[in-house]
Amino acid sequence: MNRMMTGCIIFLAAMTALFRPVCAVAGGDFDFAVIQPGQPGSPEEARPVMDALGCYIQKKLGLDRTPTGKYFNRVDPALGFLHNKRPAWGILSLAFYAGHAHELDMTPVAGTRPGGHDKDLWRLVGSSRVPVTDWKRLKGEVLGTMLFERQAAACLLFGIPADRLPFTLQGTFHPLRSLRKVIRGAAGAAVLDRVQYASVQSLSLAREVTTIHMSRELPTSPAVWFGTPGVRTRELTGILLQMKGDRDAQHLLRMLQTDGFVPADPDLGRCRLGHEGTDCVP
Amino acid sequence: MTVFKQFQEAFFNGLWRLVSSRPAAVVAIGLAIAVLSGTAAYLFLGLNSDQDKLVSPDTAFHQRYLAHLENFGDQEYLYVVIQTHGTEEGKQQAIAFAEDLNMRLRQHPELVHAVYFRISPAELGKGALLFASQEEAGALCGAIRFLVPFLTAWSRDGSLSGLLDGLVNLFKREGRNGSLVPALLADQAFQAVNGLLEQMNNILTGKGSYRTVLDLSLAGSEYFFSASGRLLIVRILPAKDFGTMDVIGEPLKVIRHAMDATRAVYPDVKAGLTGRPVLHADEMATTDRDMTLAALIAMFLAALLFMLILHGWLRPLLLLIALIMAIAWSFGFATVATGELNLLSIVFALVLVGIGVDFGVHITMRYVEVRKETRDTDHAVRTAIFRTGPGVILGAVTSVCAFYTVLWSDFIGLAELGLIGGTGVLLCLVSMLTVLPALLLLAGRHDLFPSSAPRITALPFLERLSSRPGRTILMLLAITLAALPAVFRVRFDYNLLELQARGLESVEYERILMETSGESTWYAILAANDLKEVEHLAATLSAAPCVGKVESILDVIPDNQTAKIALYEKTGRHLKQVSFSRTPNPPPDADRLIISLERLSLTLEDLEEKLFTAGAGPEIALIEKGLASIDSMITLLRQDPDKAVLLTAFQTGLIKDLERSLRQLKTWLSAKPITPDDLPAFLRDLYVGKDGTYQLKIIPEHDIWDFDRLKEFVSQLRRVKPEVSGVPVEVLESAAMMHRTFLFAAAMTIGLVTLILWVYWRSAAAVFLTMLPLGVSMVWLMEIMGLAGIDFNLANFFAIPILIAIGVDGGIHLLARWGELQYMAETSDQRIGLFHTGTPTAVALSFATTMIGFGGLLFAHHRGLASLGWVMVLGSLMGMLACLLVLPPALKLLRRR
Repeated sequence: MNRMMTGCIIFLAAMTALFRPVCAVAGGDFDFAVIQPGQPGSPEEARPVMDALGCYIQKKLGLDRTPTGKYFNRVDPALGFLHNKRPAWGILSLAFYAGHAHELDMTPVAGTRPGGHDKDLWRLVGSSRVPVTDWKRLKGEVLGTMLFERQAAACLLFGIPADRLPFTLQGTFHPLRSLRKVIRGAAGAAVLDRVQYASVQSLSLAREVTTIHMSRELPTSPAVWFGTPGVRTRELTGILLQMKGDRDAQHLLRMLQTDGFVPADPDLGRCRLGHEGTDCVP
Repeated sequence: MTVFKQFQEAFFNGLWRLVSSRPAAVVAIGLAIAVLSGTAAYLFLGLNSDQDKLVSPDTAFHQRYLAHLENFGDQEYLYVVIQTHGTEEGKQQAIAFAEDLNMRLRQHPELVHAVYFRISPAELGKGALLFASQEEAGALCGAIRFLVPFLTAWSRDGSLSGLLDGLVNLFKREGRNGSLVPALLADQAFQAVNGLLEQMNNILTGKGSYRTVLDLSLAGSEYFFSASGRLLIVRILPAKDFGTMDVIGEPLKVIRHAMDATRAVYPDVKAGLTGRPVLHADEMATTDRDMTLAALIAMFLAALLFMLILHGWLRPLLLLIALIMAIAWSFGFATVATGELNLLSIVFALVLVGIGVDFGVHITMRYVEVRKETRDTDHAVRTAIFRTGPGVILGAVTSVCAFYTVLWSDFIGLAELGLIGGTGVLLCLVSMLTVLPALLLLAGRHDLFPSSAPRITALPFLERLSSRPGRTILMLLAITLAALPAVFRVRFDYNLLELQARGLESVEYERILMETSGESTWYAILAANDLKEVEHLAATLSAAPCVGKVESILDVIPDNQTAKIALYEKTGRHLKQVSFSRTPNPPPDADRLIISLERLSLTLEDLEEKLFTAGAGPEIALIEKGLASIDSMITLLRQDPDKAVLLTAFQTGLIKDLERSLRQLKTWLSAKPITPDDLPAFLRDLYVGKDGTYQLKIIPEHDIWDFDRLKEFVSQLRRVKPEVSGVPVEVLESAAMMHRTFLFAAAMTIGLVTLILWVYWRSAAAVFLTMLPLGVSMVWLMEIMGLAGIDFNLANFFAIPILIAIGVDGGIHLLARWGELQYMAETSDQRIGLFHTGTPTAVALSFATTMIGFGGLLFAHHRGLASLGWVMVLGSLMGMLACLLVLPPALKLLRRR
């Protein structure tokens, strides 16, 4: 009976902002940054999510002040922010982590679960009208949201530096439009992560794309602690790992596009660009 | 000669004079009474298949249950269980299936009284929004405040291009204020926008006209999904006719027909019917089929056996006529005594066939035995009456004891069976001592029997087995002792579901309901005097480990009403200035429309990108469709701008839709607090009784078809409130009462039979010997059941009193004949072995007919009936073996001493 009006309400609620935090925003020991280069939208659009995450952390840790969250979907402003005013922790895209882990002191503390998966998988897809079976024979422009970190992406996907590839890697904020460009023949190929590839399967254009190459199973976007981990790191990790079972966190997790957090992927070390034992050294 | 013997002699002399002097008159009178009884039964004897009438209304638990039914009405539903597989698509299919089925069932209001599977806001009246949770209410008010500027703007504009521009602004605003995935919860919004665009496009292409896009009174219906969401449950209240065996036969036929028709429309949806009335009806249908098959097999085999042993068809026919007359008299007695038959007493005729025919077998076998020696019919019949009559009477009296001992039981069903069955046995005795001898005399005097003598009248080969009685007894004792541990493996299984036939849809879906959703068609009920008590009981009961959930009026009385009303009032003030009553309705302009459609297209493409990275494939597919409609419209309007005029009716309809929905919303937002009296009647009647008390339904956490769990469930509820009632309590108490009654009846029968035998024989040894085959056969039966893994249950336990009756009967006849032979040996020095007489054959034939009678049940689909068949067949076989193998050696041993 309590769900009586759910359908009616969702219809109306879907038209509106569903989460409007009322907590005061201020700096603190748990300030954070979410860095997802290539993600469509803008930092302004993401502001309510950052505020909601800050409020959640404050509530769970019983903090006096709300941690401030910054959202970046472009690399340069993100790097500028991290070099000038480093937050306590952050959620980074895998490519950004791989590309900058060596220069920024960061420790993975948890992993995300986009689409409910613990592992990501990148696919190089092309048009099925002009099938290319070997990526080494591919020419032109390859587009993808993760390709703003060209070097890291090249190493993770192909195992060689970007400048040794026979095509150019180009970051995009419009992955679906890019895919349509590939199908039209206006671009060579597109790189899709696991979630994006799953989206394609629901669409009519699924028949028009073909997979040319696949990465190995990759870690998902990690949550990292900047600087030396300590007691606060453990507190934060505990909260993140418990979010999946917390009823209050479900809406926030949906907005963050993850099905909870899991312990940090041990494979992340192998992804760090320029480190000994990594997939490639540019 | 004792007084008893003198009375016996006088009785049989009188009987003989009556039968021998006026055999035709005896038969005619018997026939006349039979016709009269049969006619009376046909006209006046009713059937009452109401399970609630099986237990005395004087028992406290049943009194409470009946009072509850009277107060709250019949709520014994049929359940259509529709599987959803837990997916959104599955749920939509299930809803479509339920709606379709509902439409079909509504065509039969005389057979289907009510169908419950959803509640719509319109049905809840003005207070519909109060049923939303506090969180939902907050979200709804936020949404309304968010939409007010859009609604206000469009109420002043009224053009389709204005509407599309408004949508663009909404999506953009939502994007700014919402989240990284602005439309994750917007599936329904996309559907609505998509529907709108698709309809506009259809109108422009000439494929359709305006139909309602937005109707809030229909939105938000809540369907009765199980907590897991894996099942949609439709409750159906059928018309009941307790004058038929299956009670809901006609409605069930209609419902199953409707389900088949709906299945044809939705072949991918899996759905089935269950519930206590269906299980009962299916049980009746299965048992009816099984009993018919068993009866046909039994009739064929019994006829074959009788013709073989009694030589020819005439003697079996005469026996059958006497039996039919006795059964007809018994129907007459039932008409006078009870006026109706219940679910248990309906089987009395079958019991009479099993027991009553045995009396005739002994009379006829003795007649055949004497006729072999002499052609004198009168002498043969007289000998049969005088020599076999006492044993037959004694056997009948012991059988009657087995029936009459349940007369005072609170289990009315059983008590009435005892009365009709016991009296029926006495009437069989009367028929077999009067009508049968009269028929034998008439046929014999007219020389109608075959001239050749029957061959199988004795079993002389068995005489050798008792030639060394000590050794035989020791050997049987050793075998019995060796198998004794098996006796302790036999349990009593109370699970009624285990009695049902395998593969029945109703049984399968009862299990699916329990296993998939934790729901049950059985629930306990309690009444509370006021809402405070309802709240207290609901909280206490919900805490009990055996309770799955508690349903009460609290579920339909919204909580936090004051806070919600305040919130809605505040939101209603925002809506006050919005009105579509004076909204302009300008003619659609093609150029403006194209510009607006292009803006919407760009906005949707942006949304698509966001959804793409969020993995929201289905939503993107919807947007794709919307974009396709937009592209098509732009092309059409560019080709022919005059086509825009086609959208005028659409625009007008949309304004009216919004006006109506806005009025509905304003009504909801001005709602007053809801009390039980404000609830719609169908909802109030579920929870409020005629006396104003409130009903609580307590649904078990576990499968309470399992008797231990049922006991624990009821016991936990009784700790909270001892007056708990409902089907679980009824089943628990009835099963326990039935168990107690059977045990009491068995013990009482043995006590009474022992007493009667002692009065008759005046010898402890004779009583012991008469009871010996019964005792041994019971131990053997339990040993075989233990070895074969057959447990007692509420169906096969019924076999025990019958087995006691026929077990004693065999012992009586053998002992009587043995005494007769001993007397002959002492007085005339004529020594004849027991197995050279017809009595062991008659005893064997009696047991064999019982085995044949119940043997057909071995093939029954209804597992309860099959197990009854097994216990009866094995029990009769053991009774026969004990009579033929144990008693004769024991008699010999005793004689030596």
